[in-house]
Amino acid sequence: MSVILTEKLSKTYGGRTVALTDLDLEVHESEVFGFIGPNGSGKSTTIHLLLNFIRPTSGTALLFGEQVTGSRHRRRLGYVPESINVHTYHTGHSLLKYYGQLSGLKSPFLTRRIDELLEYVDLQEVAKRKVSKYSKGMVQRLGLAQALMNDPELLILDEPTSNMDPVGRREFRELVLDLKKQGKTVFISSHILSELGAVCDRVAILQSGVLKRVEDLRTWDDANDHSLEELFFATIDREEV
Amino acid sequence: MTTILVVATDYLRALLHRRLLVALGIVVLLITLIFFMVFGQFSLGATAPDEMTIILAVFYGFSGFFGSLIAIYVGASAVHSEMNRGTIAMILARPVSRWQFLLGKCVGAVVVLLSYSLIMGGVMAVYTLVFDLDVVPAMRYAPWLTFCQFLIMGTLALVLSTVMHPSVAGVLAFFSDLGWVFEFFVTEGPFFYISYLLPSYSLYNVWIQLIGTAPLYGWSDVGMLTLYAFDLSAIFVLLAMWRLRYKEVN
Repeated sequence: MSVILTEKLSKTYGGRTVALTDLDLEVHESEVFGFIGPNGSGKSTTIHLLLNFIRPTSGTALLFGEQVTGSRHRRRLGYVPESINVHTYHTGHSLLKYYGQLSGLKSPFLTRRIDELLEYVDLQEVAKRKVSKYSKGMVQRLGLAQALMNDPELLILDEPTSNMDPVGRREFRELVLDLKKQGKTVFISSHILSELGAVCDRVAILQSGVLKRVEDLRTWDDANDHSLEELFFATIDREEV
Repeated sequence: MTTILVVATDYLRALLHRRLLVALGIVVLLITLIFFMVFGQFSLGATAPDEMTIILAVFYGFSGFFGSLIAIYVGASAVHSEMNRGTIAMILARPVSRWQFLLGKCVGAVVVLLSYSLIMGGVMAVYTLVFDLDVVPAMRYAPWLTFCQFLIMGTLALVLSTVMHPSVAGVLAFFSDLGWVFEFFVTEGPFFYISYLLPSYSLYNVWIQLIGTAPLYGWSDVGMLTLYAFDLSAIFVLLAMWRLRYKEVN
């Protein structure tokens, strides 16, 4: 079953700036899918289209077989944005409670889930502290916890490690591998190739809003003695970057 | 319904942390205390009951003015602050539709405005009882009509904030009662009919009735004014919903 399916998905801003052109993409269940490309290649635009934050100029996007304009399928997904902006008047605990309630979770399950996640992202010590007093890394981990709140089948991560230190990046890699073991579908957009190479089953390379290549790393790795970086540079047009 | 209430509760929580709103609340509290002293001072002398009513009307005018500012603030910042800070993304990525989000904000705003109107009504009742003032009929429905006025102002600020900066939206919402222009300058001709499209706040200013010579409203008038306010507010909320439906979140 396709968890994510786009057909001829295009987005043009203001009638002139073309952000995405005829994107055909299919992400299967239980796969870790990397979405890579230089800055401004249309990665975030695609994610925003999938989450119905913006409207496509043309084409369709489906999540779990449903049009992205609905909201029912969002019970089954978690999202971590590139920059995590949360209500800073909350404590870590109350913020997770808020997002949990919005996801339709109810006590006592909600309370149990919050405690589990705070422990999972190692924030239980500061759970009662205001989010405004959190460090960047803590906010990042809180952002991850909120995405896992409803135990999602699909996790969409937009540049998840861009603000992380090396320790955080390593922990993140372990987390993705853990989610993979649990059979979750993970869609990661990034331009940090080394991280994606270690965790992804397939990658799509995007440049200037155009899908250049989709590669299965499980078979490609075996057949080629090359890194993801080489694949990336062999695919993109360097003059365009 | 639960989602709407969750958003509403969170909005109330957010408002309690806004410095501007807290500052407005403190100003209103100070004015209330000052008027207590003023009433106390006047009640000691041989002040005519009419003069006491005028002081009450002045207090009502002040509290109405600050209430209008609060109404505009809660309306204009409801959606814009979430958009501006980018916090809306993590909300809309959940099973929350845009109309649920907007209605939640509206419910939160209504709770604030209704509470304010009731508290001010309560303060007026306390003044009346403590200082043995004559109760004029207009005072009975003053809190409700004030709330209706706040509702129109707040929802107008909300819809305007979806198309312009909230501070501009707030100023426009505050000065959008252009009924006086049509009353004095454009009394006939095709332009006069524009007045029917503009919201009117003056009808809800009960303090004018307290000191003026205009006939006091009856309950049927209050009913009609309530319907007008609810009707207008519903139109503004629907317009805001339509705007938000197509608004791009980044």
